[in-house]
Amino acid sequence: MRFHDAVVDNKFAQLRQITLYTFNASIEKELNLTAKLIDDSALAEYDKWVKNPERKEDFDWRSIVNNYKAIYPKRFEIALWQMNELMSLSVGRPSFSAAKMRLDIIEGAPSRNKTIKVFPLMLGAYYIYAKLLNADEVRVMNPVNEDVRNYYVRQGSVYVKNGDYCVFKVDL
Amino acid sequence: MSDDKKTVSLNKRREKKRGSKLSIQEYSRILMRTKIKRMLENDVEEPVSLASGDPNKLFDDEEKT
Repeated sequence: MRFHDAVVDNKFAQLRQITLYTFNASIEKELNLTAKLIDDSALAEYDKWVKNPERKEDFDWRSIVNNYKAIYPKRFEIALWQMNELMSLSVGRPSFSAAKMRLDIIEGAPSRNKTIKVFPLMLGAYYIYAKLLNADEVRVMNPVNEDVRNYYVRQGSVYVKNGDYCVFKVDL
Repeated sequence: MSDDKKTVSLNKRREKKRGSKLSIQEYSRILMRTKIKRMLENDVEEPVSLASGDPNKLFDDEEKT
């Protein structure tokens, strides 16, 4: 690895850690939620999703995470846990100029605790990462169907048809 | 302008700058207690099969977005 690449890797690894630490410090304690990086324990939990008949998508998270980590040092990644249950996984990255943040892939656990909405929490973590980079919006790429797209719009985003993404503004 | 006035003016500018720039911890705390809390508590139901993304487009040229 070249020196410059190592510096970039290190800088963004720190930004991911700061984001997760700050996020965890800001969420209500009674929810018993914790955000972590996508590590082996998250992927082992994900393996249980694959066999779940309630699962609608067939995202191969092992492949996604391995490739994404290899290619995008500026990536953001998050595994949201409630106690020992994996609630959601997501990966994203800044645009080339870092002016925008894109949430490339997200999936909620098929049999998760439905009393808590996972998307706003995951989005909150993206906001923090975006803020650290001075990005002004988070683009949620390629909603898988109309229900999901309408959900994002009802949560305050604007859908951009040319590009197939929903824009959430990072301002408070 | 006298030195006293210059100091007052400088302090005002510094205060304004501080006020407009939240630390990441402050930003996060306010974010989670306002914007995200509203999303969590409103009556918009989350789809059971929440998912977004297209793994086939993951490694497209960054310039497109």
